[in-house]
Amino acid sequence: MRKRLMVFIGILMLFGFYLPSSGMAVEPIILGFPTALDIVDCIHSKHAAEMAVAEINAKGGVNVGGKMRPFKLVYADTRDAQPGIPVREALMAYEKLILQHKPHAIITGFYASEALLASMDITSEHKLPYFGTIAMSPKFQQKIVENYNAYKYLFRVCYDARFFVKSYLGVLKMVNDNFGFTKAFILHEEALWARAIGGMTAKWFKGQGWEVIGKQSFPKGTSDFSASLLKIKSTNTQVIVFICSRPEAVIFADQWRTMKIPALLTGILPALCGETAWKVHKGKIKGIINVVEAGIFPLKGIPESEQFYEAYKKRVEEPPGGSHGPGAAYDSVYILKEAIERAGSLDPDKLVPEIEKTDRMGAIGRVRFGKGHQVIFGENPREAALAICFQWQEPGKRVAVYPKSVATGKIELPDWMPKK
Amino acid sequence: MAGMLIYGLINSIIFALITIGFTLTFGISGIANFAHGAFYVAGAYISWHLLNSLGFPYPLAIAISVLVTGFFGAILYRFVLFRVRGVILSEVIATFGLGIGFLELFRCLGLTGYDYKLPKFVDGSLELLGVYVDYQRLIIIVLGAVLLLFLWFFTHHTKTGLAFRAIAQDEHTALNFGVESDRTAMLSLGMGGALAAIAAIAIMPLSLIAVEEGHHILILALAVGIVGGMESTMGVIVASLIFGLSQIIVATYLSPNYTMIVMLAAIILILLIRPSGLFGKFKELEERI
Repeated sequence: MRKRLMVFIGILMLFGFYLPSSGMAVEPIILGFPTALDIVDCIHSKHAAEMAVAEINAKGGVNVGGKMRPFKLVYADTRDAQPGIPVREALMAYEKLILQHKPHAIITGFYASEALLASMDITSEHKLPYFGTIAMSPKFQQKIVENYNAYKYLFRVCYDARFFVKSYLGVLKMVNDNFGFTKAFILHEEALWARAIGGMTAKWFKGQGWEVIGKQSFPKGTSDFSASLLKIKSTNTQVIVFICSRPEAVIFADQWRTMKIPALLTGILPALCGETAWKVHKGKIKGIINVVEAGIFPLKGIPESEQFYEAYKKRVEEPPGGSHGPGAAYDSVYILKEAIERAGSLDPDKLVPEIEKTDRMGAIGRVRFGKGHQVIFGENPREAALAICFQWQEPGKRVAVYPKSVATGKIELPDWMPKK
Repeated sequence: MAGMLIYGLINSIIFALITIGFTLTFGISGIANFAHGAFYVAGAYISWHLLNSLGFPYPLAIAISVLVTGFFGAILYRFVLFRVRGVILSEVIATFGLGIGFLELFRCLGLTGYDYKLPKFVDGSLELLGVYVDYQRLIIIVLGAVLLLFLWFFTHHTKTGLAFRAIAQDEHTALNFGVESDRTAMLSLGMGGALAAIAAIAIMPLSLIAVEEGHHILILALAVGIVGGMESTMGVIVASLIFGLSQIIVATYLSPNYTMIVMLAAIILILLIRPSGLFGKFKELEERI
């Protein structure tokens, strides 16, 4: 009797071991998520990617040649936004993620363009489809164009500096048309992407008859902008172009307000982009004009964008924030899913042509890749992905002012600025 | 021009506030506390947690964080520097290492990003000679003046303060008069820590609490201390004025990127020309560091 019982228990144990292992046989598709996890754009991108993964997995996962496999995200904090953290350390975190988790693709990726450019060889070496959604330097697609075979695995879903500038210049032109302003001061953080935007904007200004009163950069970690703001005031500057993706933007905006600088504050100030920023900063951000990627701002009439925005708010219990990234990260997961299903394989060399064929409506508008694997941005969300210029206006609303296809209001001057 | 003068003056007082704790400690104990930047960040970080994580009233959070940071300073002396005092290189290595260690610990505890901001004491701004200055900066001016007066009174009219000065002038003679050297040095480290915390709580509402501030503040305190004279309060005031005004001129006419270069160049220049600093009287700097 005892012997029979032992045999019975033994069989049960065998089944016990077998059953879960057979369940585990469906190996997940690993998505690496290496980024600066302390930066608002990256934090929201992480939430957005997690939401896409949860949605796909809830529907059974990804069909890889007839076999359904779930997505699984693995993370690495590259810390590449922090001053004093060398690119080398960010690359080490990236390589550790690759070697430890053996991801099938990378979502969002580096924050700093310096780190992104330095990592491109590592990505190619491991043949990892890479969907960048934060770093903005145009040198990225330039490298892909120049050496396609080496870098064909890399794609960028967010706007780059050039597309950003294109959208931004639209609003500056509007400022010129509405108020006759022609004097601008450019202030940007000391970073590759910001330098590129600063340079392109200055060039455009000069071509359009504007006067660039000053063009300054400031180091990461700057905590006082009084010298620059005094110069802006003393030179009768009318428009400030402020390019900074780091927390310093909050300090600058606060000083601009308390010093009552009579110039429109425009540019990239990610901490002041999300729907909740007005409440967080107690309305002290009135008048600031920001440029954001669609997704952080829902696109009216584009169901995919509106659904993303509402689903995100429901899941994360706050609206998407930062200047760009969340919508692109969400779309990246779906782009990959669809490419895998079309290719029927996880083989990177089979995936690349399928990713290149992408043409879908997403959180950021219509997603198609152009030259150098850069998603095309434009002014109509049915034709391209979109960057939106909005202004904070009473009573705590983000009023879209550009492009016309999504504009809901007009630019207003700050209270302390003389009206024409 | 009025704006540059006003903001240059405010910057000067900010620099003096940041430096005074560092030079006080050095002047009394002869220890260059390279953990000064870490104390500065700790003061603000503790205050932020008391305010936001534990819901303390702001004044109470400030008082506790100043006391706790001061206590850390005293502990640093009692358990670390006490054993290596007099061995200059060991003092520098110990304080520098601990300072970096604490700052990195704060980073690991999550001190990055937008959330760590102390509220201003009073929001809003006032127009002075056609330039708007926020109330927080005006409070800093008043605080700086009050603190300097307090330190003068403390070192001239209290028993502990007189002991501080006695040790600073001649440690062996002071010992003969019954002034306990180690206790006084421990108190000076504690007071240096508390002053760093006071400076942080007054200045940080203008920016964000960040690990990098610790490194930045240390360089700034070193620059002001070396140029003014490490043991001289007057030196701190004069050097702060020089740096406060020169920084705003450099940032206005050159670029904000050059402000740190100017500061470091000033250190090198003064070490070459007058190693004990503009107002350093007692000992040549190269003998001390």
